[in-house]
Amino acid sequence: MYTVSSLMAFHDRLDEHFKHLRASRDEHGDGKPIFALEHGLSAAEITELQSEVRRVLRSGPPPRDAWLPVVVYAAEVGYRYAGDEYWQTFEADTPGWVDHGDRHYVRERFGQFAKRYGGATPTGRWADHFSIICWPITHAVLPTDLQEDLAHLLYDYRYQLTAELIASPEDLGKRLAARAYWTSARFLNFAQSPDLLGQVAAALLTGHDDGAALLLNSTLTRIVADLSKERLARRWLTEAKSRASHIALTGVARVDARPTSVEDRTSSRLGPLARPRLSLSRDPNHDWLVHADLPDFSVVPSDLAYVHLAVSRLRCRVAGVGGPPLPRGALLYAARVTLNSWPEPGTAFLSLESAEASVNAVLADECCLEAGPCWVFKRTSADLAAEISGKVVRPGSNYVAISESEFTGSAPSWIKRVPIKCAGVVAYELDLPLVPDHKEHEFLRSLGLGLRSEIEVRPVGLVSARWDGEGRGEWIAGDPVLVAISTTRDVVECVATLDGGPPTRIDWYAHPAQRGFIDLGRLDVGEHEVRFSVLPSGPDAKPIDGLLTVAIREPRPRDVGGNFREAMVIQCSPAGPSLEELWDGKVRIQVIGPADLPATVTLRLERKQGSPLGSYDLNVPPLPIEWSSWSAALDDVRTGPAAKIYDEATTGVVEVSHPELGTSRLRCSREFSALRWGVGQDRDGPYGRLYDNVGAKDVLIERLEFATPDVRHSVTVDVDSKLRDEGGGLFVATWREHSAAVVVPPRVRQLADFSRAIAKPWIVSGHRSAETIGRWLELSELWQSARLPGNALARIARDRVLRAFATSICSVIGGSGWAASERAMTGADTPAKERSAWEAASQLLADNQYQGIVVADLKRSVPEAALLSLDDRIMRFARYLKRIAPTTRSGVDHVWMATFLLRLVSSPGETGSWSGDSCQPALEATLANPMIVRAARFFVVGVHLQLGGSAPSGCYAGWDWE
Amino acid sequence: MIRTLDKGAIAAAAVAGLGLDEESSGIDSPEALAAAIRRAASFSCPTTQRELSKLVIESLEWLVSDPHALAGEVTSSLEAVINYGDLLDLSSIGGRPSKSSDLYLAPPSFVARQSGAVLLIGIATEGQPIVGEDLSQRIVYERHVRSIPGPTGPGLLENLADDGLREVSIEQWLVCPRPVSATELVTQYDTRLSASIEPGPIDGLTLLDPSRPVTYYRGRWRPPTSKDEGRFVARRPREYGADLWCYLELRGGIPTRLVDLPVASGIVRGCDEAWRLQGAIDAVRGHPQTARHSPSGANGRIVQLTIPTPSWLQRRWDAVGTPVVVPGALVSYKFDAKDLQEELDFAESMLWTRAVA
Repeated sequence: MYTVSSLMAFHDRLDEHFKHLRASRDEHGDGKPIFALEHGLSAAEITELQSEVRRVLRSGPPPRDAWLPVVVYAAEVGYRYAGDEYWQTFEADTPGWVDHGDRHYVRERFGQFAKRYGGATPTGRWADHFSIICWPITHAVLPTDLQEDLAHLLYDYRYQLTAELIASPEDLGKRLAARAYWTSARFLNFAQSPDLLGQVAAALLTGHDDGAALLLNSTLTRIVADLSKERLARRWLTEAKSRASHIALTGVARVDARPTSVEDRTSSRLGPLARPRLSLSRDPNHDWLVHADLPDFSVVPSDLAYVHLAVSRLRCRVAGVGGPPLPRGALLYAARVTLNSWPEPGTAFLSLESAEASVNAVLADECCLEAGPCWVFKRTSADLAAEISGKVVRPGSNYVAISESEFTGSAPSWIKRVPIKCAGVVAYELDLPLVPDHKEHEFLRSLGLGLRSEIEVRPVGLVSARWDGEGRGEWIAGDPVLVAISTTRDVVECVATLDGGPPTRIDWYAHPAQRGFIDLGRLDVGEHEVRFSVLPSGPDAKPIDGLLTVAIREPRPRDVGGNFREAMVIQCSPAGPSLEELWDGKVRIQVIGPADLPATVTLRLERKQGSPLGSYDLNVPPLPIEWSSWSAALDDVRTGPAAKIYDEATTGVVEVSHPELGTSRLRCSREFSALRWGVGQDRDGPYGRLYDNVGAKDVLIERLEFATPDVRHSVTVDVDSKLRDEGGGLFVATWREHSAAVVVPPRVRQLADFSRAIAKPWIVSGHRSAETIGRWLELSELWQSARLPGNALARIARDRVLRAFATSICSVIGGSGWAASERAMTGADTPAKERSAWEAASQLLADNQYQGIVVADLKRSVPEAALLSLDDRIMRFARYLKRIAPTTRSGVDHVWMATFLLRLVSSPGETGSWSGDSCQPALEATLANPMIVRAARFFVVGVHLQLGGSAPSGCYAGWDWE
Repeated sequence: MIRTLDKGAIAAAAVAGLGLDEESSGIDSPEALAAAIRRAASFSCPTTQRELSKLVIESLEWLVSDPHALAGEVTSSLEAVINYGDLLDLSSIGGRPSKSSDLYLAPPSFVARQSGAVLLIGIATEGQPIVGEDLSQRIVYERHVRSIPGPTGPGLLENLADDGLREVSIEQWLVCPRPVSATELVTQYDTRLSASIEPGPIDGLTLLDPSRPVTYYRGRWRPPTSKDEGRFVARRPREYGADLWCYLELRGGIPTRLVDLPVASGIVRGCDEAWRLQGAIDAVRGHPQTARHSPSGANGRIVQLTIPTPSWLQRRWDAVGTPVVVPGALVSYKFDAKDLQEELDFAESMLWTRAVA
């Protein structure tokens, strides 16, 4: 066996190897990049190389000349690390690195590798943020803890694989990346390079790589062997490979006449399936209701990943739907809404709260209703009707038409006006006769409706994914499209064309009915058109034309949280929450299911997938499990033994089980952030510890005390140390645009410590200006968004700080008289005194007699408002606001302003990010009219007191903003 | 590419598309009907039984040999699929009371039998297969039952779990009501009925007439008349969805008391309770239901029932026997001769049937 005894010898050998590999890939692999993991060393040689690198680094700085072994060493660390941060693993494995190493050396040498051998260069947002560790991780190709995710993804996608996709790694990568949203945060980073994802996936599927066009065979073999160590991953990969082999043997490919390329699918269009589908149902009063099935954003083209992210994280408003916005993530599980009013022309049908303009622009462009002025629905039963997208009707059939204006002219007797519960439109039932006369035909045409009289096309044999009853259907990719054509006339000939291709003569059968059958095969994803032309018999017969629109889509990705077609579903807002959001109670979870059935709910913390650290039963009521029950149950776990292992966990799995309804899971992985705080406790008390993923030497660390929460103190310590302070407080780490904060509880050894811990926060007063309020909002957000450990004292102290900011904001805006009321309410040490102070504050609210009348009404409304939902309460306050200040801010509706005010005075920490660019002008409006802030504050505190004055989450009872 | 096919070829393509062998199953075979129902449900749930049946009928009516018989066959097949556990018939999901019950997909699961065979239950969404390609090829379809025959090789259960299927123990799958005497059961429902309030007139009510012969189930249904006095198993219409099962008291044909079925908590179908209660009423009246059995082949015995099977009995017989078609019979299963007596005894203990050779 060839052995080496020095780093230089390793370097020379690797140099030779990578040069050869570069030449080979240029020849067979179309110039694709190479990776440091493709070093070609055996397992024994890797061990030897690692020993040699460790030996050198233990006693001195990294070598200048023999750098290739260090690059391979770093890639090997990247390949096997899981859970822990990269540098922690690297340093633990490499004695002496802390003293002699240099993280920037690693980046520079990988850069040299890329330049000299055409090595992969990390790209994308992730690479920009993690400019050092992106190199060794990219060059690890597919780190071990991402292998299961890839195998799972390939398994889920196996039935959509085609020969062309397997032969085109770039396209395969784009398709897979578009479906990877459920995978771990680290895998999503990996998927930001679809070329690499496709390269690895294609190599895994084909199982060989002649000529090493994609990946060196020994590297591929190694990844497959490691992946196969996990039974589940092995099984998934085997299944996917089996499907790929089948495709290779049978040549399953895109067979359509007008192939829709992956580029089409991944261009900046969501495609025809983004259109909301309308349907009608009748309520018990026989009024028609209009429903919209919202588009499914679970699979979007990879270049629209930002839309997917926004849909997951932001609440959605639907034009024409009253009440609160849809929960965050609702567009990921095929939501259905009922329209109270018809959307105004030119209004975006969907819009996300606080989304960037570009996101809402995509939604406005792509997700719109069919053009009017008339929409027609085919009745599938007495009480149901589905929209016909082609606006065609058929003699002898029954429809409902809705229109923005009443039908004019002499309507036929078979058209009947019927009631509809949707403002802005009128509805008519159309019971078409078997033979409409010329006038009737003309009337339909005047409504924009076509009459399709003699030809019927429909799916046959296999139910399609969706069918509008008249000529438009959806099928799942991979399913055969089987269609029948029928007519009442005797037929001489029938021809059909697919996507403008050559005509095909259809065999026609006269018995038992005039019918022909066609098989369109397995069409590619996209929209296809089949045109029919039937020539009836008879001397003057003209051809009858028909159109079938076939939309092919991929199936929804497997959703382990359950699917709305199943009886038990976990719904969460935002969708796809991180472990941090789960742990900190920043995700709203509810479990939908049959009433009163008991379900078992557990939270499992894992170090990596399938490696449990602990499992905890949650004490929840029977189904359905509402957010409030979930929140209380999670608090019990957070403050219990789970708190000790949380920092080690990389994944949290919520599992809901019922013997007959099955098991639904919600998997939350830790965010892969530049900086992260852990919290622990040892004999010296609570501490915070910073995990640094960027390798920066100039991380700024500051501490803010509970007593003076607006004053930053610089902390000069080693970033890897445990940071602590007897009084606890907020620790903030900042590096460039990245920051992370944590609330560290105070150390409590005796009663006096406890008193100190809950000392009253003191905020330095400021000028009455938007700048001062803006600064306090930023500080509130810092405290609010900071990681909160499962420690009751930390939560109490944090909430007191947030309330102090709310008090200061209201005092400064409300004026000196109101500031005294704020002090009285804050200083009250019993609920009775607090209520008395609130009562007294009502005298200081109004600036004039008219406002006094409104304030009296507002005060009277508090007991009833306390019983309302948060959204209804906002609407209630908005009505008062309109009376108090009819022209508060031009161009801003009162509901928005009411929401802003109520957020500002109850939860300032979330107000800035919620209101975005509108924050500054809204603050200026409040300074110009302080009475509206006083009224909002009075309303908030009134509801809080009415509900008992104790907020389970948030600062004020009844004001738990999502 | 467009291929023009005749009716037989398109039907065969549809059968293959349903995952069945087109050589051995026709488009109107019970296996194809059950598969078509599962596929349609995978796209349309939650939905009502009526809507789901309509969807399946529309997709098949131009292909089957007897379109007029299709509706009845789809209805029976759908009942069997629900009873087997592929679909869950539920109301009041999410805490909101519902005017109708809806069908939901049961999660993909499997039941391992002592013989080593595995029963597959549940439906994946969007027409996707519930197991991987290698296991799909091993599935045997018998009417609504999907199974992988034993003895199973090592790793099968693990592979099923890896495909995302959940194991359900045979005991849990076959869980059935507590055995009681017919009199005791009728008394339990009578007690509940006596505590109920007057429902007022009900339009569209139909009842199971206990005085009519037990051998013709469909012929026992009729609307109430002014001469009706006493307590009956009945169905009453509701705004949406299938009729509700109930137990009621009539005076002069007018309902005076009413209990909606099911009365048990959990996932229980109203029809399951109604059929068992009717079995008890018939037994108490001295005209029990019959379980007619006859030889079939060398070691087989076919049992026919005169009343629809509650889901717990169907599941047991799906596990022990094989569903078969016997013209004129409501429910028929074929058993090994060695199992016959135990199954007749079970039916007698739970439905008070009388075995007739």
